[in-house]
Amino acid sequence: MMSDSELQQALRQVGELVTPPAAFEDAVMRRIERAVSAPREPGLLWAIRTSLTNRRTARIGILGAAAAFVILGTAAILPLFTATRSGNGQWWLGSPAAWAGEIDAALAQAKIRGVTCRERVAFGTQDGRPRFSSTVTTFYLSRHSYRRDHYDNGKLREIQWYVPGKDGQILVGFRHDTRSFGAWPSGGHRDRDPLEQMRFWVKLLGKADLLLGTPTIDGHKCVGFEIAADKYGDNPKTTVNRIWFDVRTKLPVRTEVSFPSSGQLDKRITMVRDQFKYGEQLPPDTFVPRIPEGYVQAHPDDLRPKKRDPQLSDEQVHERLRRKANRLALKDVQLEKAVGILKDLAGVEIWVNWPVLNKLGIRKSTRVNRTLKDVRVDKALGAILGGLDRSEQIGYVVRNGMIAISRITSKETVLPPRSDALEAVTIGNHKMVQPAKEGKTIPRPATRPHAR
Amino acid sequence: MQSDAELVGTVLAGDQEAFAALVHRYRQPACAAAAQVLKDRHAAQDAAQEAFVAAYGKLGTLRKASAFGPWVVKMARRQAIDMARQRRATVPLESQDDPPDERNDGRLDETSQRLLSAVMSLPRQERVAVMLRYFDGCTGGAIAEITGRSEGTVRKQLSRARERLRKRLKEMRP
Repeated sequence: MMSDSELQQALRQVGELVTPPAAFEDAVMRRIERAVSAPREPGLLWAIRTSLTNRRTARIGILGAAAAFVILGTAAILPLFTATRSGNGQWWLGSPAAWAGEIDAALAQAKIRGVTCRERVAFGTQDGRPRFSSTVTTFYLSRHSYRRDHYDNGKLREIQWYVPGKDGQILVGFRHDTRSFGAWPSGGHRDRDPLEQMRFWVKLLGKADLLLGTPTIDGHKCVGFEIAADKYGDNPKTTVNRIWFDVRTKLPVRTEVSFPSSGQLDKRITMVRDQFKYGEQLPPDTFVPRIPEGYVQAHPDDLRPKKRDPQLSDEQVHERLRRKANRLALKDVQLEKAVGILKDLAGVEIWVNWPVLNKLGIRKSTRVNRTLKDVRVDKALGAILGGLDRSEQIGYVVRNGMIAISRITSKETVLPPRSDALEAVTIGNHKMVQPAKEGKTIPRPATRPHAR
Repeated sequence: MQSDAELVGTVLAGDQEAFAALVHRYRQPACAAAAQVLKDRHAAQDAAQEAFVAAYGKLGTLRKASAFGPWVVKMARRQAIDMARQRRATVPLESQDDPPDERNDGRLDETSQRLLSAVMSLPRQERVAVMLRYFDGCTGGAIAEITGRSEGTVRKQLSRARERLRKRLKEMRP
């Protein structure tokens, strides 16, 4: 076996053999310099190919077809034509695979330095003037942490920090209005930081449905893309994502997620993120959670004040269920969302016993298709539930100022018994509720709305 | 001496020149990794150059800045594998007949190839420590500063690596 000194000697000799010449570093740095400063030439043939294969990008498709015609018919003009395009910097007409990777890397790099942006919610019709919500969120993003500051009418309402914890990222937050704070594992889709979301969209831009032109946004010359949410995952195609990039820096300037308002396809809600600032030097304590003194720890859901009146009597609930909706259009809507729509229409809390419904093959994602005109909320609820369940086991009861949906023979639906009898509601020929004769106290189901 | 993590941070903060220091630091390990695949030091230098340029573009995606060394060495190796694939598709005609010129030809001899293979089979951290120590001539203290580990750890890693190398070379002996 080779001795230690022989081995070390042999290693040094190999090291000398593989040592590159002194010019190596200069050569690398020159190449990097060129790569950084040179504008990417648009790949014309790729642009034409992309536009022809992307059926929904009609305008580009026509342009692409025209360009292809020109190329085939007048090959001699091609060098001149490409020369005129040179230096235009229209990188978005080139291969999305190339520039999307570049943008993704730039975003990852920007995140390390620090990024801030603003989020607002716009309400309004697709073509009409938007009305912005009174709530504005400011994001602070860094490599491993991010933070959301929520303002209501310009006043700081709550702060949420997403910071690394022992078992993954945790969310720490407080609310001034409830004087409470909480800490819990993060990970839901709402917890995704905006930069990661943008990186996800950037990778999908090869499938974009529309090129949104080159408008100037906040003083930046931009190029925008639109992609429907059904291009990734089980999402409705009525939800669309838009993203505009600065044509010079290629960094996103504005993003939008637009989806129809509850049951009204003609009205839309749009989450707008803008005022991006990249390479911000954030103060070192930006991501250190600080809870104001005297605040109490509460369940995360309790941090959100109850929107609905908890003091409703059952009679008041019935009264609200008799409210009429002019038009209720539920087209391919998830059951969970349909329930939310009815909740909003009636202004009453609705609790759904999902575990029991799941056993009957009914899930949150089960699709509901109903268009009802001039209909009472209780009739609408009955129609929706009746449409889901052929065995007619599912129904609802009004109890303790709220509505509970479940399999009616199931005891899980029964809220803590009170002295008065449960009320029965009939859908079809099925009577859906029995009084709790045994008087057993069954744990009250969680009624916390909108778990984070 | 600045650690890898510090240099990576400086590059990401916009100082392009800091990357030159990283190139200088890992030029031999990257070339060695590529040479082990390509068995040709000139081609290995090309692959290492490609790897450094690619690393600059992807620096923002590097999760652990202190792992720059192993990362760029891996990139060089991958680049070399790609180049080797392309080479197989286009074998130059003279390679069939012309005898290698020992002085000008970049091809590595059998012993060097075996040693490089053995080095590349080491665990990641040990591999980088060996390359910095014997290819680049760094002291144990310098390696500790570069990699952000203690000097004692580096000494242990080097000792374990040499032991592994001796065993591996014994197994590889023709």
